[in-house]
Amino acid sequence: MATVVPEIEKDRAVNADDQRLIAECLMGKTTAFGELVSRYQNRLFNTVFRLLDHAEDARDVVQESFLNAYQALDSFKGDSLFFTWLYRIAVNSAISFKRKQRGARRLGVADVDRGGLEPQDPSEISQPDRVLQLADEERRIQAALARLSAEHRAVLVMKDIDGMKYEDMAEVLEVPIGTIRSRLHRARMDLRNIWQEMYPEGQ
Amino acid sequence: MLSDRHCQLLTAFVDGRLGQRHHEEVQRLLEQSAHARSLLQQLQEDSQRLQELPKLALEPEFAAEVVSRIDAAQPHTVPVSASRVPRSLPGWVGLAVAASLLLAVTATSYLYYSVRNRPEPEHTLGLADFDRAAFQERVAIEARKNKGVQLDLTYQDGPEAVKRLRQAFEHNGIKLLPGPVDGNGELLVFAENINADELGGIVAQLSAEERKSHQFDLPQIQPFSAQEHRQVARSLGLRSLENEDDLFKNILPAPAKDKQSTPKKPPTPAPAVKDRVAIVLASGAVQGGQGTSAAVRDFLANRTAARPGTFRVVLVLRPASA
Repeated sequence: MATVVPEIEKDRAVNADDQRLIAECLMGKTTAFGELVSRYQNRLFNTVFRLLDHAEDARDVVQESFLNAYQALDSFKGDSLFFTWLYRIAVNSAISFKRKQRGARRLGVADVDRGGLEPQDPSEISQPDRVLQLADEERRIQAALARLSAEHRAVLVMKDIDGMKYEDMAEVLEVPIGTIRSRLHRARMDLRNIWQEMYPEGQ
Repeated sequence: MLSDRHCQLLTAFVDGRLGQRHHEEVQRLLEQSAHARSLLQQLQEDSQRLQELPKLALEPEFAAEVVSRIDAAQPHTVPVSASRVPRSLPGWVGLAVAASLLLAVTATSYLYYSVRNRPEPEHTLGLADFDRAAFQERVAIEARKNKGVQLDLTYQDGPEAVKRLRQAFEHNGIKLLPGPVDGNGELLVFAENINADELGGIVAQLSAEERKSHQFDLPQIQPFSAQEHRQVARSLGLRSLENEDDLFKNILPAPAKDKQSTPKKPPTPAPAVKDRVAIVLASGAVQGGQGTSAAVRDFLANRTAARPGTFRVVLVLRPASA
């Protein structure tokens, strides 16, 4: 319990500050929106990148998501966290982008493109061997993820990479919690089968 | 071999979402089944791999870039509600006359995809969030740049989507002509000689229905791409939408000087007021004979030259389950 309360308080504080910035945006102060972008750009980018495999595409989708959010800002009712609302726009934009992309571009292992972006944690790139190991592992995971459906991939990214709760995922995707549970189940089993098929050596 | 129920319990166990009773059931299962232990370990390893993926960062200038794009588009993108925004469409939009509107809908057999077999609905930003004033302003900007606008939407259920489209267009005085539907693909709705007001009215009507039950996501405004341009033209049996001047020769009155140079011919009668029509075509049927269908002939016969202040629109509607 001791660790939960501060998180809630932290969320409330962030939400209150977000509300202040949103109010300033609605008065035409675009620099306030810039603060919101700075606050959430990396979290959104990480998620969208894991959904799309492509840094430039992910960057474009995140940018468009922010622009769409700005235009729809007055429709944000404040009954959820601003980030949840923003996240919903970005994830759905990424899923939509992925669908449009389907057939036009089939991503293979070699197509996973970070676009030269580096990890946020500099310690990850301080050892050359570790860099190669991480890059190889990442390539394998992305290749397996790429074979999942957009919906299954989204729930896995939200749960395991973003660490979201079922309740928050249900709010973002606007589905019952039971649907989140069943999608996650299918996603995990599909990923397991794909992994075994791609890497039968069990590594 | 584990039952599906046991597999579900194990995946929920990985997520830490089991109640006490199910938790104990999993513990018993793990004690009894080596297969269950192995699967659980693999599922946990899969989850761990995802959790350990590196976190990437955008460049710090990204936020400034977003703000500069917003500033560049001002005042059109000021995020205030329609009720608080005075109508500020460009003057040329106001010059738009009650032009005939021709509409082509390219559809697929997905439209008749069984509701029974329909997957879970996809959940995207709702059309109920539609802001008419902001939408019309963005449409006007895009149309000025590209002479055409593409709106991307996904829909939940084909027949219901078509029904709502028909109602929305009829609400704005446009008739939807049925056409042959076969093959697989997305639904294309093509319109020309439409202005921002009319398009805003159509989407507003869809939005009103959206509040009753979810069907569409929020349209994304994009340039009318060359790909969609070609697809619509092919579906209509045309080489290009741009050769309309040739097409219109047969349905528009001849210029006065032509009449003088051919006095023996009877004057071309003034065209009747065109119906505002729409048509449903099969997607991708390039050589499928659509161009000879009665619906296409009706559609083409109602096609008129572009009027000032109007533009082409293609709605690209993709099934949410795709």
